[in-house]
Amino acid sequence: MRLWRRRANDVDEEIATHISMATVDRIARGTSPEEARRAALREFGNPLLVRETTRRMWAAEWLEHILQDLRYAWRQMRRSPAFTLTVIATLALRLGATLAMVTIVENVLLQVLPYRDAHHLVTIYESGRRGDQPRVPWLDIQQWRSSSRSFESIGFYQSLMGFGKDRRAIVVGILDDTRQISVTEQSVSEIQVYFPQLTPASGTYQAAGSVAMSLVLRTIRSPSSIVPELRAIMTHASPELANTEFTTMTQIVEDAYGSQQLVSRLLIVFGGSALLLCLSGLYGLLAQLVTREIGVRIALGARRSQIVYLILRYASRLLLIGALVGLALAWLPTRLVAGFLYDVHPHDTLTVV
Amino acid sequence: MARKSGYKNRIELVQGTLDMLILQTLQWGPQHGYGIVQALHTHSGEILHVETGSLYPALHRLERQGWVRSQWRLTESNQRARFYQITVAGKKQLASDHDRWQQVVGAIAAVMQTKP
Repeated sequence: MRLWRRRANDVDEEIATHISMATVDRIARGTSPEEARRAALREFGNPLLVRETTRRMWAAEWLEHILQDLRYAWRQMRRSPAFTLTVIATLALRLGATLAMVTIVENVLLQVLPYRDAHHLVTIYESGRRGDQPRVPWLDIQQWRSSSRSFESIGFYQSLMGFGKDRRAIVVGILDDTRQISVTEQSVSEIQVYFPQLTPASGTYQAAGSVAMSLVLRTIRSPSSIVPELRAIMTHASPELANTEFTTMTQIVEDAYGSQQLVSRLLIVFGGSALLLCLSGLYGLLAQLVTREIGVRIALGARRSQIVYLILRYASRLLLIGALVGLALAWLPTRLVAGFLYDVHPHDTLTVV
Repeated sequence: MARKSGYKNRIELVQGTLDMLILQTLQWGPQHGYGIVQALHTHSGEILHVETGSLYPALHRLERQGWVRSQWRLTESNQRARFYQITVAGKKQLASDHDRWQQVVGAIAAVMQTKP
């Protein structure tokens, strides 16, 4: 740092030397001393600019920039504490509120299912001609598998209550709890068991015979385009299953949460536009504040890019502080909400950010 | 600045040639910034005039690259000035710059002399 300081001072001296040499030269050619100095200065151009660009050739300059920037920021904030506080508070409240809202809505209403690509899941509810619920014969499923390439996998699920007492199975994975009935109620303790790789030979399949098993399949493309195809294949293969119903997961979720989701999406839109409004207000304030300063800086020889940079830094500093405070503020309501909504964790805020 | 009328009749330096010109000037012996401007002005038949705003950044850039080295000394008229001196690496750089420059000049000349 000291070494570099010396270098910086050197540049000043070098410039002074240059100007004085040019002056001396002119005097030697017969110009009057004052005129010579004026001409030398004129020829030299803008010493500040030369100094700045020259110093920039040395790496340590960024350090000075940061220090200078911090000093400047501090002075600016102290000069107009009311303005600074207003901006920060506005940003913090606005960002905090929006963030908290988005976090909660996202967690509670939009990301309801803890599975991968939940929108590719389709449940199949079988019902026979007489309204009974026949078990889908294994052979049928095999046939579906071979004649359709549009689903990735097919599996059964069954409530644990229907699961035979003496049956054993290997547990390959456990999924998170999920809200089942509504946003504010805790899940009923009910366990669904999924059998992704059931074969007709396995005892479970045979034992489960007496109880209805439900089918779920994972499609490759969006389910809505596949359902008609599936329906054709299935009714062709198993004519006795006349009233097969396909329900996509998305549909199930929408049935349960649809109205709430709509409201919350609207909330997010309003929240977002309020944020925009608040930002444009701040922009106006800031613009008025810095207009004069831009003039002064141009007069002092600042370049366009420097001014743009300066204002961007100033604005982003305020934004950063505002965002940090906002993040802290957002944590609070999310925590509160976590108390009365099921399965929302305060730290989810961070995942949203 | 280039828009001001006073600068119009000066020939602008081709981009990237300033470093080569400075190194070439220093081939003739150590020189300070003002001296380099004067030397370039004289040796170009009073056509080239290097702006200080380009010269000093270029000198410091060259020094950082290790192509020149600087030292404060007294001039003949007893004035303290920073003298720049070309280094061995600088001489190599000058040779390669010079080669490239001749290639470019030859290429441009070839294009300009082609008859339609």
